[in-house]
Amino acid sequence: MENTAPHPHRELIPAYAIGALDPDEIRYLEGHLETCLECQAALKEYQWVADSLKFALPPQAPNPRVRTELAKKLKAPPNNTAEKAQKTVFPLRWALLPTLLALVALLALNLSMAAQIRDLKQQQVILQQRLQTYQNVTALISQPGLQTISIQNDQMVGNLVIQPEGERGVLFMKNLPPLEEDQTYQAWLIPAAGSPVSAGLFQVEAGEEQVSTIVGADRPIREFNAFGVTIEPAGGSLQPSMTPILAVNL
Amino acid sequence: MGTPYEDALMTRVAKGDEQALLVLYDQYSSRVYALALKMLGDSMAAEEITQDVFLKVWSRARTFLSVRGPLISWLMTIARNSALDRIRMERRRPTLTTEDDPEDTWEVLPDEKTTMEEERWRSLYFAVQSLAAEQRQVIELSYYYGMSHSEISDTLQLPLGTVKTRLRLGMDHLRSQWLLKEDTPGASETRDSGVLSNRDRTE
Repeated sequence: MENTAPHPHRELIPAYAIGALDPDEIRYLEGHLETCLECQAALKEYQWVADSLKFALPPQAPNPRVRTELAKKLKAPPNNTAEKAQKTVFPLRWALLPTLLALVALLALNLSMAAQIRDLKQQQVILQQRLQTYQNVTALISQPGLQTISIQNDQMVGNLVIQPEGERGVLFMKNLPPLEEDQTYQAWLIPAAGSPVSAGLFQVEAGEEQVSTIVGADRPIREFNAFGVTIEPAGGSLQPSMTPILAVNL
Repeated sequence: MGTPYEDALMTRVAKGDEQALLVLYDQYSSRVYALALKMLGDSMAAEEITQDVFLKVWSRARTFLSVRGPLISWLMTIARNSALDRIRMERRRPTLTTEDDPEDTWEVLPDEKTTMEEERWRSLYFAVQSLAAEQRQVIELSYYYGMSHSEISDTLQLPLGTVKTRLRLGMDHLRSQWLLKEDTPGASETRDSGVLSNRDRTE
């Protein structure tokens, strides 16, 4: 349908033909051009003018080296797969090298961090066990009727705090040396008759000057005559495998 | 419409005939280089664009359709687009002058060897030169440097309305000059099917 309304867009047509309109003006004019045959015809003439500008220049010959270089490039095989692949792969390998190095470094960092996390978790477990022990110790020594028995052997010194009617006590020792990884300290309660009864296993950490551990059996401590500590294989023994390093009568 | 000669030449180029492309180069490189040099203002960059244009012709020969227009129009469109891409990529700023470049001149009188096409190109050149300097400046900034009204206004520090008016008046002048010439007997045929076909707007 021909648009017979006035053409305020007309003055935009030369600029549109040459590509000088701003984006909002382009949208404005193109909307009008869809229906206006007169403006379409005018545009066609101005487009012819704009296209002609490509030719409105005196010719100038380029440097002869341009032709020489062009001829060389024409002779280069355009679809040589092997050469192209080599040219592609070789630089590609080198281009990938920084990425690969970064990935290796990242992997190493991740492994290191995983090991650290594992160690931290182990330490957390140990600390939690210690905390529980301290809490239990605190609870025990808070009870009434406690009896404290001194223990000493060379440089090792400590106290055994017991509640005779109870089944558990607390051993406080100083200067107990740390053991090998395949060994453990084992506490014993020794009855007047019969075999010693295991009263618990405990460890001493490197640098730990004082250790406190809960010891006990399945019956009141007053039923035992003596208390002792031996060094046993890791996991403990059913019976003492050596002479106690610490021993005291109850 | 392209000529049978151009069709045959491009068919050879499409088949990988290097000599055919070099024939094209010898025939049209001066036009391509002149346009690139006008737009880039740098002979090294213009040489690179010139080479790039013919390499594109080499790789795209199969896409050329003579029914869409003459080969020279296709070549020059590739040249202008390549130069505009370079300008935008490098954010080149045009050299602003309203004076004629002393190297950018054409002989006023054609010699006996001048073809009809060359004569037409010459008349186009003189029509542009006949524009008022300020009109020619805005037309060149728009066409050769891809600038919009707003960008020209900012660059020249002129009101937007002034830029629009100068560009419109300049284009109106060129249109009247070229259409007047093209309306002479025999010229209208060339306008629609010859060198200056406006149907060749894309590569």
